[in-house]
Amino acid sequence: MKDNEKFSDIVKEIRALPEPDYDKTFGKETQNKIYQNILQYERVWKKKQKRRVRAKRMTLGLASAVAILLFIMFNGPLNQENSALNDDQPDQIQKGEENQPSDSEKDETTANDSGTAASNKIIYRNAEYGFSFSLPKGWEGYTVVTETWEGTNNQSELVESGPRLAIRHPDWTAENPRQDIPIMVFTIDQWAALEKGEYHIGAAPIQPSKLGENNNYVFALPARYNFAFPDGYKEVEDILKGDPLQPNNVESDSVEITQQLQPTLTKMDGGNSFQYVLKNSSQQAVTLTFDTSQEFNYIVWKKDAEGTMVYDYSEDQSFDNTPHKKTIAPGEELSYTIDLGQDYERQTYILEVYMTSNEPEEDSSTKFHQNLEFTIN
Amino acid sequence: MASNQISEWYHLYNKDIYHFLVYYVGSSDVEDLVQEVFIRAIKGVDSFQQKSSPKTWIFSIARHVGIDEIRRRNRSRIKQMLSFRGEQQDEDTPDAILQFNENNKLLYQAIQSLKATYRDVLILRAIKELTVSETAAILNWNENKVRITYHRALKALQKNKEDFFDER
Repeated sequence: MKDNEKFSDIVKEIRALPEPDYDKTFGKETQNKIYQNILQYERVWKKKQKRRVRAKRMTLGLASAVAILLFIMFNGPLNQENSALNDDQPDQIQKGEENQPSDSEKDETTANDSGTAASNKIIYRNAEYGFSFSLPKGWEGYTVVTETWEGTNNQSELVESGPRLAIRHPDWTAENPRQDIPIMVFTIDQWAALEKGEYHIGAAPIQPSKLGENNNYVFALPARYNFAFPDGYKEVEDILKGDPLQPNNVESDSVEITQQLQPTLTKMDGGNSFQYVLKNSSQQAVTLTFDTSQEFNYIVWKKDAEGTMVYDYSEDQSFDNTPHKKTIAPGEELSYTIDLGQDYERQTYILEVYMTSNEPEEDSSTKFHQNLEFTIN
Repeated sequence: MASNQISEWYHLYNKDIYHFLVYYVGSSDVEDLVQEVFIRAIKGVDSFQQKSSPKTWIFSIARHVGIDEIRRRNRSRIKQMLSFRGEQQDEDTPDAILQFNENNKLLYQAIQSLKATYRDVLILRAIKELTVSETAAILNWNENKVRITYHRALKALQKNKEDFFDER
């Protein structure tokens, strides 16, 4: 159990590595020289910064002067007209009163204009696959329905599948369905295979048409999505003409996996046992790969400033070097029971559990990791 | 005000930083780097949040200065190798100022052969004897990651050291 003692020798050795002989190599003289240099640098730096602030203020002043000038130039004629109309009012008050209504009028007209103004669009953002889709204001309150597309080969076997998102109009009802905006999501590989004709989707001989792609996914419109011509199909056609889908890169696969799988760690009743569960709360199956027969690991620390390690499962047990994979279907979970036994002193410990799946090396120690404090008393 | 701060920090930490850089960069010639650390501190003092400790802040600057320096040295080493083919330069070691014995040398080589994250955590935790939370602040990791990585680094180090020993 006293795992950390194995390393105490090497820690001692490291701590015994000599410190530099400061008097000889980094003596007072050197230290002072550097100190003087730093002080001098600081003086110069401060002066520069003051100058920079002053310059900023000056440019700011200049810019505002230009702005005022422009404002006067454009509003000038208007004011003159107004003051000609009601002479008895002082100029300045009038400016405020007259300009406000006219400004808001302008806003309204642009908002009604179905042109390019940003305000009449709403944006649907999908962080999971990395795209945004702009919709007309009338779609406010839309819902997104996730379905699956299925790709079959020539022997009618299911070979590929993936999500198909449907953006649904708020007025949609089961009795009166309106045209959805369907977006199929392919991985890059799936898309390439589709283009090669390795499989096809539905009976349609026509392939989906690409709407955009990012580093991980290709987004496409199913062929003949509107064959039934339900209400609103024309509007959807118009929306799609306007190039509404903007792909953006998803950070990486591993980030997604961490969003899809939720770990929990709970203490079980009685004894010194815990349960670690990794639940797939997403709509997609997730596959984890393992380099060895080990799937998870846990470590017990003493909760003190030094953070002494008491136990490391991976070092206590032996595992085969047989790589394997494990797929967690949507809604399913992996569950592991951890029994720590009774070999603990009266103290507070931290139990850390994490998956040993093959994630990017840098962060492997924090993959799905969960901590739980427990006290033996 | 700020000037007093820098002076105070300099006097508190200049030796620590020197010690750190000697080990981190693996060279005895780091006075300029110490200066660079504090110059960067002056430039960044506005962004330094009072809530974090100046010690870990200065260390994290020093680490970045160290990383830059290692890169620069690697570049110039490659250049040198290209221009004087075959002329092998001596591996940089801080022997000159550290007076390593044979065992120290071996251990130090083993540390230098580790990957960067392991070296980071070993030098901060074991050589500079910083606490877990200080190390976490410097590396911008959570404390568990520091503990685990430290543990793994020690394990890897032990193995490397044995390998070096066998080679001899």
